[in-house]
Amino acid sequence: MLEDAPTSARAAAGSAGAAASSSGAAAGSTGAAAASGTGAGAGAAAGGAALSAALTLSISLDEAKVPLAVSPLSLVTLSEAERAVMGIPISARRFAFVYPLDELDTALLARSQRNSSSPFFFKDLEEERIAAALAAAASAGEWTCEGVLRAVRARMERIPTGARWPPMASDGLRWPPIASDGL
Amino acid sequence: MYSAVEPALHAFLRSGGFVYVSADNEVLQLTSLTPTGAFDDEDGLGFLMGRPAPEWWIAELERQGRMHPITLRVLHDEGATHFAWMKPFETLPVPPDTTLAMLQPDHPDGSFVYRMRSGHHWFFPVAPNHAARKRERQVFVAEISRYDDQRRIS
Repeated sequence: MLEDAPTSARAAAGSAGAAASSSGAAAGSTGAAAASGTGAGAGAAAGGAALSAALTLSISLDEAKVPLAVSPLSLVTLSEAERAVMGIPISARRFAFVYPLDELDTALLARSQRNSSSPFFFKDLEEERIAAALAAAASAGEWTCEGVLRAVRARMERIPTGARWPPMASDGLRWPPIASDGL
Repeated sequence: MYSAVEPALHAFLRSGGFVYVSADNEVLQLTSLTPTGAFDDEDGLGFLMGRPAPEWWIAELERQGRMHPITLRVLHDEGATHFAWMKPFETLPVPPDTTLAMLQPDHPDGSFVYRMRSGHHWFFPVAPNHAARKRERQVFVAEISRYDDQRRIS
């Protein structure tokens, strides 16, 4: 069984909290609700290590490949009322965690003002710089925000669920890259 | 053209987030993570107080290729270097050569595990609701107060 209980956002480490903001991927619309939810609940017992291995997704940007690592899907068990409070669609049945795009610097921002001496490149990025980099990529026909959303959606739609989920190697299952033009 | 969706998308790319899908496997929503600093915000999901994460958890998650570099400054400043998402109820395979009773995570709603530069790693179980977070914080504060009182007495 590959599905578990739910979760969602607001990462907090010690005093640090992280609220969730929602963007409606399906409709391309935006929400900025500072909410998200989790469900308590029974969910299935977790799978073993193999089932827990992250999937690595790749999106082709010219010669560059930007991997998105996505966890296996888990069941959302929040009540409808809880979902409403958290801004989670009532019709949501499963969820997965998508890791940060930790290779964004090499794929998208290579021509931006990168601080190559810092091992934590992202923490030094401001929204304006990310926006500028994405805008530059978009103007070059490489990547748009809508393209990213569609890429995530397209990739998620291809992730098998339930019993059809394939066995994964301990280092994760590598999916073939997909071209943004084909989305 | 800059749109309203971009800040949320940037947060999603930079900090990660959750993707919700329907029964038909259609992606319904992406939920990004953004720091707030609020521990007991009633509007959103939060985390329980951090618990120590044994070294072997970190080693196993690294072996599975699941530890990712920290991208949030606030977490980096707290000493975190890498993190992983653990599914609800997930347990990790115990090293085969161990004879010790190995502690497994208690996280019915999932958790984030952090590798720390100090070597003292942490995990933060997702809190199901605000009341649980508040209750745990009250217990934590009470324990700290009792500890301080005992120190003063001694």
